[in-house]
Amino acid sequence: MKENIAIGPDAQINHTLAVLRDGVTEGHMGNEVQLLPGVMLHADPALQVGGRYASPEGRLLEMDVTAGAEGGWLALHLSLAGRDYSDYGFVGLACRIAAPEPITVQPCLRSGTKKGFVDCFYDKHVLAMPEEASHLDALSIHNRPNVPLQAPWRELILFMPTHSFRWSLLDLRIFVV
Amino acid sequence: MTLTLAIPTHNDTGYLRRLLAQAHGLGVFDRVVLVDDASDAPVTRDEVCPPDAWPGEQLTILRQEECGGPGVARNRALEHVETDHVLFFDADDLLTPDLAALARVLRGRDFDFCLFRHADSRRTHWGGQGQMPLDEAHWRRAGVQVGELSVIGPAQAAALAETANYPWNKIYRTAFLRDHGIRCSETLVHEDVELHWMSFRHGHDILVSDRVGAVHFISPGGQRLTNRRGEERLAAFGPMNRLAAALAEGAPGRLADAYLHFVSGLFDWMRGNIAPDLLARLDAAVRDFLLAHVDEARFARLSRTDPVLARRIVFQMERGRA
Repeated sequence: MKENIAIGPDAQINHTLAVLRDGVTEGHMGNEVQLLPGVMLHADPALQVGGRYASPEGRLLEMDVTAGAEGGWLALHLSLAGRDYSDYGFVGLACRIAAPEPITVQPCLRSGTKKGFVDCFYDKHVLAMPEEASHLDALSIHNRPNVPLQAPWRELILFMPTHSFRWSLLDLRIFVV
Repeated sequence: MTLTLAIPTHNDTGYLRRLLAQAHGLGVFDRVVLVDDASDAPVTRDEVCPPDAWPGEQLTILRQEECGGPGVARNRALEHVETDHVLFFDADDLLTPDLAALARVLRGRDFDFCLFRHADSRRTHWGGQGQMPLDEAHWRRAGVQVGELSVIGPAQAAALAETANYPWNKIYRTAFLRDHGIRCSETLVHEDVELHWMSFRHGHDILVSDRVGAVHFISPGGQRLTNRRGEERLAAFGPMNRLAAALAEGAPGRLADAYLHFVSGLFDWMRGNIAPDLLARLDAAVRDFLLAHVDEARFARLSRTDPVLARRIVFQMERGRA
C-alpha cells in the first residue's frame, strides 16, 4: 500500500499502520524512536531502555525491551487526525497481540488542550499472553469529560510495562466512527 | 527458495478449486503437484485450476487408479518435486497470507524444516482461535509461542514433536527428506506419524515460527479417512513399531521418550475411535508394542522421570492382557 485515498479521522493512521505492516524494519530501542511519521516510541530516559524492535513483513511490531532502571513511562504514540469529533460516536482500537510472559498494555486517547493535554484511558487493559489473542475496545466520545470534542491534536497511546518485557503487536487497526 | 505445494486428493474437487486459487494468489509457490488418489472421476486441470493460474508444468496432476491413502499420495508427490522446498498440504484446508510472509522470510536461510502454527476449526467453534490446547501447551513448553523465527535445540524439538503429527504445518527442504529417506507410512490412517517423527529425528536445523500459516478444518462426522474406525487403525502399528525402534537406536533419549509419551496418548485416543469389536485386538497390539519397546531398565528410568507415563504404561499393558 503506497497511497492513501481513504478519508476520515482514522484514515491517515490506518494508512500509516498499513505501511508499517507491509514493510520490514528493525532497530535498537531508545528514548525516542520514530517508526514512521506519526508512529513513535517514547521512553522515560530514567528507564535506561535498551533492547530491539522489529517490524516483520505482515506484522506491526515485535519488541524485546530491557529496562536498566526504574522509570515512569514507555509508550507507543499514534497520531490521530481529526480535530473535531462532534459528529462521531466512538474512538476504538482492534488488535492482535502475544507475549511470552503475560503483560498488560494500557490504551489511552490523549487530546491536546490550551494548557497541554488531557488523557482518557480505555476501560480495558490489553492483555497479551503466550497464545495469540484479539482485543477490541472503544471509547464513547460524548459521555467522557476527558475527551474534548474539539482538540488541536490527538494521539492514541499504548502504555507498556516499565520493566523488561517481550511483546508482539501483530496487528492494530484504529476506528473513529 | 523455490517451493512446491504437494496435495493428495480424493473426491475433493470443490476444495481443490478453492485451494489452488488461493495458493496462486499468495504468489510464493513455484509448482503444484497434485496426486489424485483414485477419485471417482479423475481430476482434470480445467476442473480445479483457475483460468491463467498454474500454466504448463507449474501444475502436475498424477493419478492413482487404486486408493492408497494420503501417505502413498504424498510419497508419490515427493518423487515429482523439482523445487528445493516443499509444503505438503490437505485439499480441504486453507493457507493464510502469513504463510506467504513466512516463505519470503525463509528465503536464503538454511534449514531442514520450518514448523509453523495453525488455526484449528474446533477452536473457532468454541469461540476462540489458534491451535488445540494440547498443542499450545507443547509450544509453551518449548518456549516458542511468540517469535517470528526461532532456531530450536533438542529439548525444544522433543517438546514440539509431541504436537499433533500433521504433515502440512512444516515447510521442508526437499533434499533433507530425500537424503534421510523420510516418507509417510503407506497406511490409510496415522500415515503422517512416521514423516513427523523422523523429521525431528534427523533434523539439525529446525526453525519454528509463530506465524499462523494454515487453517485446518475438522468435520467430526465426515467420511474422510481420519474418521475411519476399522482395521486400518491396527495397520498403523507396523510403522509405529518401526519408528519406536528407529528413535531408540543406540540408547533411548529425549526424543524416544517423547515418542513413547505421544503414542501412549494416541493409544487411548484410538480406543475411542475404533469399532467396539476391534477393541480387544487394539489392546493386545498396544501391549505387544509396549513389551517390545519398554524393557525393565527403561521402565525403571521412566518411573523416575515421568511417573505418570509409567503408570499409564502399566495400565495399558494390564488392559492388553485381559
